[in-house]
Amino acid sequence: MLRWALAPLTALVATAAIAQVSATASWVSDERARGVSLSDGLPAGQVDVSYDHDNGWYEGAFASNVRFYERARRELELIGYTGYARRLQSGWSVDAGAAYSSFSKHRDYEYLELHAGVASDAVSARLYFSPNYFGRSIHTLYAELNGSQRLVEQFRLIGHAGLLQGFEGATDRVGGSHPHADFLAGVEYRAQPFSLQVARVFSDGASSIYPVSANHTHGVLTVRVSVRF
Amino acid sequence: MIRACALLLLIAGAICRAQAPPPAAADPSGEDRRILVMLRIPPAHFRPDGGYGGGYDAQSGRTARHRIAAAVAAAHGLVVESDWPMPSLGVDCFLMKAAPDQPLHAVLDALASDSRTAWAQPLNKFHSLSHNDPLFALQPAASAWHLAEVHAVTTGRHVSIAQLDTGVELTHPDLAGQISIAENFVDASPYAAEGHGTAVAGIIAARADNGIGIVGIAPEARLMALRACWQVDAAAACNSFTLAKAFQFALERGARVINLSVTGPEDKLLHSLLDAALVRGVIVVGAVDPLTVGGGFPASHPGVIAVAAEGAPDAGDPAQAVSAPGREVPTTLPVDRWGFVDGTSFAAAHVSGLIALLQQVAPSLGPEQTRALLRVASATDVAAGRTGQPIDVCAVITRAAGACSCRCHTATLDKSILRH
Repeated sequence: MLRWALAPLTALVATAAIAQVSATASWVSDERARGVSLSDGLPAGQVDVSYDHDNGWYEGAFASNVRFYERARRELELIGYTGYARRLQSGWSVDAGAAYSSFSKHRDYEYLELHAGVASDAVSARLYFSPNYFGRSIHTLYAELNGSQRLVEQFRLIGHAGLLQGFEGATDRVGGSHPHADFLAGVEYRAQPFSLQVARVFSDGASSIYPVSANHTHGVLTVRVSVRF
Repeated sequence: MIRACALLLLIAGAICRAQAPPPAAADPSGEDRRILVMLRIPPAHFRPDGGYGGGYDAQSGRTARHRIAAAVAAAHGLVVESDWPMPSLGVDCFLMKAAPDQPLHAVLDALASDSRTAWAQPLNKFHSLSHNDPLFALQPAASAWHLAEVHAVTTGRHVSIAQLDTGVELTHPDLAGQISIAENFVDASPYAAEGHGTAVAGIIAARADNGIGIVGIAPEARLMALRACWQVDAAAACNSFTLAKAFQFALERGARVINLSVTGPEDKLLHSLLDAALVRGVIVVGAVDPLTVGGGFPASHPGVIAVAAEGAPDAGDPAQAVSAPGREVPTTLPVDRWGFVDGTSFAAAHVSGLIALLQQVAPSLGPEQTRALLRVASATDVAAGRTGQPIDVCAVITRAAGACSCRCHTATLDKSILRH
């Protein structure tokens, strides 16, 4: 399945001449996905490469090192994604696509997720559906709202709220019947091509869905340093 | 008291006239060799890196676009000088300079067929529409619009107006505290106080009841003084790039009204930004160039509220133009002065202030409704085939506020006209 995740990259090499290629390399103090640490609270390195075509199609690949629990070995998470985005005359843009996540050691955690959303200058909202989130044979829906507001010159306030709900196959033991919420609030400093993000992440853990140790978070400080290519 | 102030202004104006000759023909910035090249910014989309950049992240991929711009420039013998993302249009605008021996039309033709670019265009030049006449007597426009009575109903409170002009004297005693944002889009030098911008700012938002000078049309509006033009003698000169940068900034900062007291040739980049503004419900006011058939651009844009000066020749007015005081207007000038100005630049400033008054009492009024309201309020003589008639401000405010503002007998009469 790693090959599946890498497919967008290989398919795009041939068309790179008419695509806009951008890449971001990041260091994060804690890899938090939807509020849950996928690096067991440890720092992680990440790379994202994205290809944007003039006609609105996009593909990309993302890699991050992860560790699900204390005694687990470090491994690589690889996400291949593709989709179509279009800017509307109103200034909003719409986006729909799919992402496939796989892991170098825990192959059984791999999963497909579909997404659709809208974005404007300052906010974005997106809905995700997975038929087998983290390989758990349960259907999940995740809704997120992101926003940013420029404070002064190169500083921005950033915010995020998300809600994950397991259904179809979810039990009290796996997935649970209640939604799991996560929030992020922070500040971002941008000085092209660098950016520094300092944020607090809040989460109720959702540990019954994620293959991680108990992970309730009542405000953990995270730092992200990125450079864009 | 008003008359006393007017007399003081007359004396001050006689001493310190704002000189505003026609724009200089020379091109001191050397921009004749410059062109604008647009590269597409991909629409915002899903990225798994959890950067939480909010919605549209114009920075994303900017390095990549710089790479592409460098390659495009190298291929066409150009030098990249600057760039400015225009997320409202989905393009990154690059300012490039051609070699002295390159015919610009040939370069633009070649760029038009380069698939890496969205479009390329000349760097057009714009100028203000103002001149001063020291022989004209003082005629305060505020009295023609019954400003004191109107201000009892609305003062433009919290309405955000962006003026794209030369620099404003931020410390002028009639403007201190009236400017919410001052930014320079011309160059990297510090923000500069200049004549045209200071005069326009005074008409829109000079302080009220401070015992000196004049009263702005919308004294409690929040004015963004965006320096997109520079002073050439006493007139304003701008180009497509500086105006577009300031326009994009105004959209990002949520301006409800944008005042463009400038004119020039039709410009694709600015035209696109005007379209984007109108779709967002932003109201754009443009000064009519009385010497150009159709009023000149941007006044000729179908969504822009074109403003001519009352009593000025209307040969060049667009059919949809409204008119406002633009002759013998007392206003603020640099170095703590007041003086008289004359031109459609200042008529446009009046209407921008008036729209701020309307927005306070009827914030849902969009560009089309606002234009219709202003047009109908001056429709009596339009029916007779004469364009550019004065606006009945009392009727406009009364209709927008849904309550009597001033001269209610006239307003009521005009309301009956409006119904037909």
